[in-house]
Amino acid sequence: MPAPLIEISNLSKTYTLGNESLAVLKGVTFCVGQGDFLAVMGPSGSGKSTLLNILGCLDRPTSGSYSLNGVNISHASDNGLSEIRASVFGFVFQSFNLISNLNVYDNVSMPFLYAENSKKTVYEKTMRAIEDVGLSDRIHHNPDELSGGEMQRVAIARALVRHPKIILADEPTGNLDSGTGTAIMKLLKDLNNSGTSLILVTHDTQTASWAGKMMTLKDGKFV
Amino acid sequence: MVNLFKIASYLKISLLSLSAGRLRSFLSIIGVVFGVMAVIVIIAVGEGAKAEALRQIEKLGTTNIYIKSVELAEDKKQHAMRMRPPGVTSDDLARIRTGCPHVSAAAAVVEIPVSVIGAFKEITPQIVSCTPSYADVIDLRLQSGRFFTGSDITGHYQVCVIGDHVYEKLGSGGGVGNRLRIGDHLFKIVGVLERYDIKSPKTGAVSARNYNEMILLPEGSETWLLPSTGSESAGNTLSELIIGIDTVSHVPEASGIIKKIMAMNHKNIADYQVVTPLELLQQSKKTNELFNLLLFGIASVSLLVGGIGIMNIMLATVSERRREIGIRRAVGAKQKHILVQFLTEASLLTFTGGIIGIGAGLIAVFVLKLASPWELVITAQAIILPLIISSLTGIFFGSFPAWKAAQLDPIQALRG
Repeated sequence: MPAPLIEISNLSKTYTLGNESLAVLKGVTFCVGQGDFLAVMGPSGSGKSTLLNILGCLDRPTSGSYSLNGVNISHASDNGLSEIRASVFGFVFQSFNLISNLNVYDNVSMPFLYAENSKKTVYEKTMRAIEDVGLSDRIHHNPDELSGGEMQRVAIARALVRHPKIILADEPTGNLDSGTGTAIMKLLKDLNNSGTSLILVTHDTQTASWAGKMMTLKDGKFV
Repeated sequence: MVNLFKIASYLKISLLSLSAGRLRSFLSIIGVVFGVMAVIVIIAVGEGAKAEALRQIEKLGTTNIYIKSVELAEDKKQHAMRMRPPGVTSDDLARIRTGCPHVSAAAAVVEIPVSVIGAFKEITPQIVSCTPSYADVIDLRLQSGRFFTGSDITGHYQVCVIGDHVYEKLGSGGGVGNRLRIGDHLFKIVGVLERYDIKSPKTGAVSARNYNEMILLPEGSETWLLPSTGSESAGNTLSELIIGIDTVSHVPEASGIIKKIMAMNHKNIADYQVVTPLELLQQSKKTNELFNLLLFGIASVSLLVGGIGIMNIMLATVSERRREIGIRRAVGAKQKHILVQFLTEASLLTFTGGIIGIGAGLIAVFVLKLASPWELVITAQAIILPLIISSLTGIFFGSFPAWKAAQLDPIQALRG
C-alpha cells in the first residue's frame, strides 16, 4: 500500500499569549489519500481553521508530526513551506480573498509569479482555469464588478490554476446564498472527481454532505 | 536569473497598486520631485558659473602671469613717489627678464585716458597702447588687416587696431585703411580683431579685457598723446605686464620668482598685483569642490526628507495591504517575493518622482535662462545622477517597509 498523501500523527497546536497558553489542537491523528474528499466539521473555536492552516503549510504545529507524500515537513523552513504551498496546495477561502485592484485574469494567474513558467504557459493555463469555472466572459472584470458566486469561482480558478494535488477550502459557501453555494460545491466536487484531493472545513452539515468522508472536531480533538 | 516576464509582472503589479491610490502616490513623491528639481537647478547654475569662469581664465591664458598696477591710497602714495614712479614699470620687466627663467614672451599694456573724437554712443572704447607681442601672448586674432610690428613703434607710426564692436559702430568708416581721431591725432586703422564672446566683462581680477570694445595703439603712443607723463629714467608706469611662460609646468615656479622680484624691486610697496590665471584655475577647482559638497548636502537633505515621506507612505501601504500579502504568501510567495514587490513599488514611486523632478527642473532652468543674465548649463550628469539617486532613495527608504511586509506571518496577514 502506498504512503498516504497526508499523514498527521498526534498533532498539537498551542498559542501563547503573554503568560497564558491556549491549546487549540490537542493531538489529532488522521490520513488523507490521493483523491479523497474530506470534510472537517465542528463548531466555531473547535480548531478546524487552525488545522486547515497547518495542513496548508501556513502555520506550523507545536508538536506531533506532519508527513506529506511520506516526507516529514513539521520543521520545514519558511521558504520550504512556501514552495510546498506553491506546488501542492490550492486555497479557497470563505471571504474569497481576491486582490481588488487586479482583474479576473491577473488574480487567477497570480500564483505563477512565484514559479518558473513561460509567458505562453501562464496564459494557456490561466485561460483554461477561467474557462473551467465558467468565467470566460469576465476575464477583464475587477472583483468589485462580480457577484459573490463569481468571486468564489475566481478564487477556485486561482486555486486550481497550477494543478495542485490538494485543494483546501475554508467555509467556501459561508458568504453565499444556498443556490450559489450548491453550484460552488458542485464545481469543487467535479474537481475532486477529476482526481484532486479536497479538504473542506465547514460547520454546515449540508455543505459537508458533499464529502466522501466526514470528521468532527471538538475542543481540539476528533470525536 | 533575470526573467523579463517576471520583471514586467512586478512592474505591472506595482503600477496597478500605485495608480489605485493615484492622489496619495502623487503627494508622497512631491518631496522627491522638489529635491530632484533643486539638484538640477543648482547643478545648472554651478556648471554655468564654472564654464564662464573657465572661459575667462582660459582667455587670460594658463601660461601667462599678469602684473597689474594698483592705485595706492593717498598717504602711501606720497611715500612711494619719493622712491620711484608708482605701479608697474618697464624696469620691472627688465628685472624679470634677467631674474626669472622660463620667460618666453612678455607684453606691456598702458591704458590711455583719452577719448575718441566723433564719439560712440553706446560704447566707450578703452584705448590702450601695447607691444607687438601682446597679440601673441594673449592670442588675439584678427578678422582683417594686421597687428603692430616693431617698425610701427620705432617709426612712431600713428596706427591702430580696433575691436569688433568698435568696427561695427564705425560703420563704413571702420575698415582697414580708414583713419580714426583720438585726442588730437589721427590714427590709421591697420587691423580689426575677431569678435570675442564675452558674457560678463569686468568681474574683478579674473576678468579678461573686453577686446570687442578696445582700440589698440603701438607702444609709446601714450608719450605724445599725453605729454604730461612723467620722467623716462626708471621707466613709465605700465597698466599691465603680461609675462608668458614656456610651459604650464613652469608657471608655479616662475610665479613665485616673479613675486619675489617684484617685492624686492618695489621695496614691499603694494602698488602692483600679480595674477596667475593657472592659480585662479586651481582656486576655481577648489571652489567647485566646495560647491559640489554643498550640492551634495542639499541633495542629501532634500532626498532624506523625500525618502522619509516615501517610507511613511509605504508603511501605510503595507499595513493596508496585509490581506493581499497573506493571499500572496498562501499561493506560494516567499518572503523575498514580498520584499521585491514592495521595493519595486517604492523605487517606482521615487523613480517617477525623479522623472517629474527632472522635467520640472529643466523647465525651471529654461525659465531662469530667459529671465536672468546667468549662464546655465545642463549636463548629462545633471540628469542621470538625480534619476539614479532618486531610485536608490526608493530602495533605501522602501526597504524597511518592504522588510516589515515580508516578515508578516501569513495567517496574521490573511486575517487582515
